[in-house]
Formats: sequence, structure tokens, C-alpha cells
Amino acid sequence: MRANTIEVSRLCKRYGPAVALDDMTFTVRPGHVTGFVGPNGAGKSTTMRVILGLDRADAGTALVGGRRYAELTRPLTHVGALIDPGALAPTRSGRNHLLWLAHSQRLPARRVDEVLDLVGLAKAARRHAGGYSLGMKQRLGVAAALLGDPPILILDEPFNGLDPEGIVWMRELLRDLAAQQRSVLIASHLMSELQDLAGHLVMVGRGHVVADEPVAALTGRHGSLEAAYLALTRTEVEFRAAR
Amino acid sequence: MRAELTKLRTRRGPLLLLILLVAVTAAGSAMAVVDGPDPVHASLQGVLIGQAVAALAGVQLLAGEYSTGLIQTTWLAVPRRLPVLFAKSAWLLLGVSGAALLAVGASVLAGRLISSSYPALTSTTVLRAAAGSVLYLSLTALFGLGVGALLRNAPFAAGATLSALYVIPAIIPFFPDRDWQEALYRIGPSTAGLSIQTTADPASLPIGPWAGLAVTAAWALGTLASGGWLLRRR
Repeated sequence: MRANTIEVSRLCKRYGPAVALDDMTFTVRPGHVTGFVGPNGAGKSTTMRVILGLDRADAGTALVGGRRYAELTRPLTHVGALIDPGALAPTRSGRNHLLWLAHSQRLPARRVDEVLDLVGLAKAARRHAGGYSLGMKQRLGVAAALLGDPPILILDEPFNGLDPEGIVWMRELLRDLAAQQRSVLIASHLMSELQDLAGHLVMVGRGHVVADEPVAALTGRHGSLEAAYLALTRTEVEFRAAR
Repeated sequence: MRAELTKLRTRRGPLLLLILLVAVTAAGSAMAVVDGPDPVHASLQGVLIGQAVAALAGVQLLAGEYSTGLIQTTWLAVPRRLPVLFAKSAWLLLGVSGAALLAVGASVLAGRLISSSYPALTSTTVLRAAAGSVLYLSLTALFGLGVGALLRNAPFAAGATLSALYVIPAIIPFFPDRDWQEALYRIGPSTAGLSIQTTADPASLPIGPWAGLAVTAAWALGTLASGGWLLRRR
């Protein structure tokens, strides 16, 4: 059970006077897509970066499959992540980008071609990744996340830049991955998308959790996920246009 | 190790840098050959230009990943981080020392062909100056990698590395006090390290040839160790 959960416990982090994480605590379980939502600056990306060992928290722990990310050998076989689709060398081809990643995890080159087919990039795989559109970079990022066939997936705004066909594809892919008893955590601002896709929601504001419950419970009480979001984050918003 | 090699061979830049290193070092040396008091030293002057290429190859290897954003993917794949620095150091050392061997070999050969007073290629002085120059270029590349790990910004790291290599020798003449001049000569990574090339009366230098090369090595290892410590902490 613990092998594919994400456990975030009492994370705190400050950047100078600004509080980024303030006692952030939640658990992501397998079997359904978990939406991770909240206003800009609420700490979603920082939480994801701390889970993945890219940032250090001042206090608290973040465990993937019961262990700290930095302790994992061959981490991509435990956790697949897409944080920044632009995190690649622009003059290296998409295929070679995946190839060095595969080598770093002692995965066979065959796996590279499998994930390229899976994300529909096989034709563009030998072109420089710097020339890809944002949608193609997202697909390459998803390919990298799936390279190690991990039981846990962490994706930041995976729908960004995708065309309508790509959005449908991504939705089906995420559903399938969750149905295979993986933990799937998705940060997104698209409430209508999450309402159909996610089974569970973690809503955050100002660095802490304001709601952590099934999507059905939220929509039952508020009518829609968007209404639930607006009601629950009203007091948590850092930036808002005057009305 | 293998992943870092895959990174290196799937882009054109690294190989071009090594070719450039051989070309500018050999060309610079061939042009500098004269029948002076120390023809061996003169025939290795291309190293003064080649060191910039070697240093930039080192800077580019890690700090360059911060420029593109690739570094985030690298840390996700290897969250312990230090193995990345070790692998990069190893491949850099291998690549640059191979290129330096070609460059210095061509330089010495050109010196022997052009200068009439050149000592035999197998004489200990020539061998020391040549082998030392190869080591010097390799250490300079590691120094660039170390500064890159410390600063994590390619333009800053390139500026800092090249300043250490070129600005220290340039400002030495402006110090009126001879003790100061000698002290700077002894601590400068390029001034101290390049004393390995002097074959005529090396005793007249502020620092001995091997001790000088050890200074360059200390700069390389010092920046790599502190850079590695910082990478782990973040």
C-alpha cells in the first residue's frame, strides 16, 4: 500500500519574509487522479519541488513510497515527474534526451521507443527538442515521466499548451494510469477538467491545505468544482483584481 | 557515468570544443616558436590560448545545464547529485587530456621542426614541459567545472574562471613590491601552473615547476569540492 503513496507531512518553508509552505500536510493514494489546486503562490509548485528533492523544506517530511526522493536509487522507476517541460537541452533531439535519461536509470533503449510511441512523438523524435511546440514538449515530458514505468506520477499543469486532441489524449492517459493503481498527482487551474477527471482533490492556499476530500463531496456541497474552489479559497488569495 | 557520456555524444558542442582546443593550442604554439633562450617554453605558448577553451569546456559541462534548464531533469534522474559531478569530472578529464595530448604533441613537434636549438624530444626537460602542459590543460578544465558548480551560472562562471587565469598575470607588473609580485605569481592558477613549461633556469622562478602545477590542482580540487558540497546542500 505504502509503495505507491505520496505522504506530505507538516512541510514548512520560507523564502525570506515570504511564507511558501505553512504546515502543508496531505496524502496521495493510488487508484484515482488527485487534483492539486490553489491560487498562484499557494505553494503547489514548491510542494512538488520539495517532494522531488529539488527544493529543501525548512521543516517536515515528504515521502514517496515511504522514502525520501533523494534516497531512491533509479528514482524514475519509483516516481515520474513533469515539472517544467522546458527542462532540456534545446540542441539535443527528443529521442536522445530520453536516451540519456534511460541510461541514468539503467533502462534499455527499447523503453525509449516504447514511450515515444505512447506519447505520439515517434515522428519528431530525431528533431532538436528546442524546436518543439509547448504541446510537444509536454508530450516529451510525459514520455520522460513514464520512462521508468513508475507507480507514482507528479505532473504540474500537464494540459498546458496541448491542442484539443492532445487534451483528450492526456485525459484518457491520466485516467488509465490511475486505473492501473498508480498514484497520480496533478497540479492544475482547470477546474472543469479536474471535475471530470479527478477522484480526489487537495486544495491549498497560503501554504497549507484548505480542503482534502473526494471531488464528489465538493461538487455535492457546492454544485461545481469551480464554485467549491472560489468559496474555499476566497480568504486565501494573495493576488486578486479589484472589483 | 554512461548517461553523462550519452549527453556528451548526443550534442555537437563538446566535440567541437575539443577540436578547437587542439587547433588553437597547436596553431598558437607554432606561431610562437623562436630560437630564444628557452625554445621549449616558446613552443608551448599555444597553451595560453588553449587554456581558455579547456576552462570553458569545463564551465559549459555543468553551468551550461543551468542555462538551458536541463539541470532540473538531471537532478530528478540523479537526486544525490554528487555522482553527476564525478561522472562529469571523469569524462572531462578524459576528453580534455586526450585533446591536450594531441595539441601539446603537435606543439612540441612544430617546435622541433622549426627551431634549430630545440633539445631532443626525449630529453627530460622537454618531456616534463610537455606532460606538464597536458596536465595543466586538464586541471584548467576541472577548474572551470568546479567554478561552474560553485556559481551555477554559465556567464558568471566563465567570467570568474577566465579572470583567474588571465587577470592575475596581467596585474602582476602593476605591483611595485617584488614580494607581492612573487606571492601573486605563486597563488595564480595560471602563473604558478605554467611554470611547468620553463626549461631554461626554472630555479629563477618564484615557484618550482611541479609545485606550481600543484597550485593549479589545488584550485581545481578546491572549487570542485566546495562546489560539490554546495550542490548537495541545495
